[in-house]
Amino acid sequence: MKAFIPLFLADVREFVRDRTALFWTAAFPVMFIFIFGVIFSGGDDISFSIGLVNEDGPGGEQLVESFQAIEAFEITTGTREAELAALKDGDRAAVIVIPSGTGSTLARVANTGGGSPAPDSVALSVYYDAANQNRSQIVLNIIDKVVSGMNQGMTGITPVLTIEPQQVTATDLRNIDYLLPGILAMSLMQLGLFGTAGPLVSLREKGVLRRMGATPLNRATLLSSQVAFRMVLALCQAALLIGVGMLAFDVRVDLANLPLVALVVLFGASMFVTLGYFLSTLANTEEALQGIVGLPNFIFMFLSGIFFPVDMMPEWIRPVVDVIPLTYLGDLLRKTMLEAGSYYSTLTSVLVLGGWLLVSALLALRFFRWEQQG
Amino acid sequence: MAAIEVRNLRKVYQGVPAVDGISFSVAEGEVFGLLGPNGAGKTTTIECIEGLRQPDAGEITVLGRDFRSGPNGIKERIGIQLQTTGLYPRLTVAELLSLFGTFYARALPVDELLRLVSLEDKRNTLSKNLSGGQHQRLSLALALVNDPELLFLDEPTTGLDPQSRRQIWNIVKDLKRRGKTIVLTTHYMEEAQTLCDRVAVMDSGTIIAFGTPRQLIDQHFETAAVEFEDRNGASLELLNSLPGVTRASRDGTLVTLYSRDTPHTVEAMLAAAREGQIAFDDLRVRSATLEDVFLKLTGRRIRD
Repeated sequence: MKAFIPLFLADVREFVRDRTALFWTAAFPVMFIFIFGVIFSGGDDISFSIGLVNEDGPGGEQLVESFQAIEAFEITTGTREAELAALKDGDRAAVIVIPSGTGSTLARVANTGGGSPAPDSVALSVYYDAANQNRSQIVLNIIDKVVSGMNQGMTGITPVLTIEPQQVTATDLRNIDYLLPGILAMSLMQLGLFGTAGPLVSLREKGVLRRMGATPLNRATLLSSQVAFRMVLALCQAALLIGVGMLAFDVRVDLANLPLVALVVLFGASMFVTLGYFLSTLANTEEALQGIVGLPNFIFMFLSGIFFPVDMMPEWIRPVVDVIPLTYLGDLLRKTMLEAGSYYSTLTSVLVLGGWLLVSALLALRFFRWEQQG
Repeated sequence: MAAIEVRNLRKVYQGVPAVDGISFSVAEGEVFGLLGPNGAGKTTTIECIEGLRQPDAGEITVLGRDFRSGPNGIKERIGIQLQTTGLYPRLTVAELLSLFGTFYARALPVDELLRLVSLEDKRNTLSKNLSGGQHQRLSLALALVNDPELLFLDEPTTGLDPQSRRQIWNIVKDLKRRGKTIVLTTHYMEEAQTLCDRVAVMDSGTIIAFGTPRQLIDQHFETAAVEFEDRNGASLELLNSLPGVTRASRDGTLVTLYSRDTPHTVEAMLAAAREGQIAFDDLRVRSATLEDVFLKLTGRRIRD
């Protein structure tokens, strides 16, 4: 076993000195996060640029201040023409116009104490871009809430029924939150397909395994060092992706759950690495292997629900989705990383992944070869 | 005691015997050559002895032990250079040597190995960036990592330029001086003649001649070979009738006459040329080599 560490280090050196391997295991998934993170940005943590047109002079200042106090809004003040032009250019999410006379009306309502139905009211005009439905909807909602809050404050009526917002992660998942565990699952799969099967076929094709077989080296030592290296690599990938997600996109990973996340990462990685050992038996050359791993890579990536919820997929494709291991690894990671609601039960996920692991291991044991045939 | 004992070794691939019941032994401290053309069964033979292939029949004893009684005890004591040595492409020469050292109970220091094969200045070069000759010397060093008593070299100089070949030869001669037993395969006659104490000439899975290079040549040829490029296709009958000629052979336009009386043979050739019976270019006289032995025994040249 004294060769274990040296063989492990040999794998590390081979990996670090191979730009292609580095790219696929580190840069590629990080790029995924950034691309998706930017494309799908928009959620509760993003602020909206709001144009505010105060046509009431000093009388409207109080309202202006109230709007400026809203965290989700980035307020720009200006003339009606300038702000509407900015809205048309897409530079504003909405433009709010405070008409003249607002201040004096508000003062009158405050003086009467709101005891009787106030005959006076002020209409704030809100301009928005109908083409951008989602964003406009969110902005109008916020404005509506702000305004009703102010109404209550001014009329002094204490509402009997209030809503106290409670964060429930299941409903609070932003796209990037949903994607991060999926991208991690994807990179663990690719560690097995490209990072295990590929190098194995190459080592066999070049005769490296054969040469080492001519020494007293125990094959179990070689095998265990290869697997150990990939487990460490899986944990590094997880740390990198979670770190990038947290720092760049503020993904709220449940830190207390990290040991459990690590366990799921190791479980998923061992399943895909074992699958990689089996797939490596199907090809004699690296070129031939590309086709063999390319297909499952493609199918698993797009039919596993790691990029979008399983619910969104058409019914007829569900039988495929339901047998893909990546579906369950993504789901399990999402659950442990974010404490989010999961689609499948933990037991189901563990059983399906365990089943894949078992079948891959049996097939790998049956068909794995150290030497090229012939 | 013999370092290697092979009896009736037989290995069949898809019904075709690659090695067909050969027997020989290798003495301790000698350089033993398996000589023959590609496909003669040399590599199959050497890999059966190394324990990398399972023979279909026969007995092999290496350093007094049968491989079937567990190969690892023997693997510690032998060094193997395969015909093609695959290595981690992105490890350096020194890293590979020290890695292979950990596979054995006992290993030579990396610096000493580098010195043995003159690769000191390449110690930090990645293996994929080595030239053919350097790669071959590294694979030789890897075979020496455990300071083996018995060394197997499968075509150590195939595909190398003459200078690299001589470098390898010098290393092998040096190892021989250190008392190593060496078994090598080659299809270069010159290599066998230069390095080997004894040679087994193989063809189609059998040993067709056996002995020291000198013995083999003397046994088959009393004297020299007269060679020339034939321009007008003289008949073998005519050539055989020339004085002193024991045997004539033709390979395309290249004619080889084995003669026990070179001056008379050449004299007669010149006379025949004057009468227009023969026309030749490139006339040369040389001593017979193992190549001639092979040609005589099989009717073919070894290198095609």
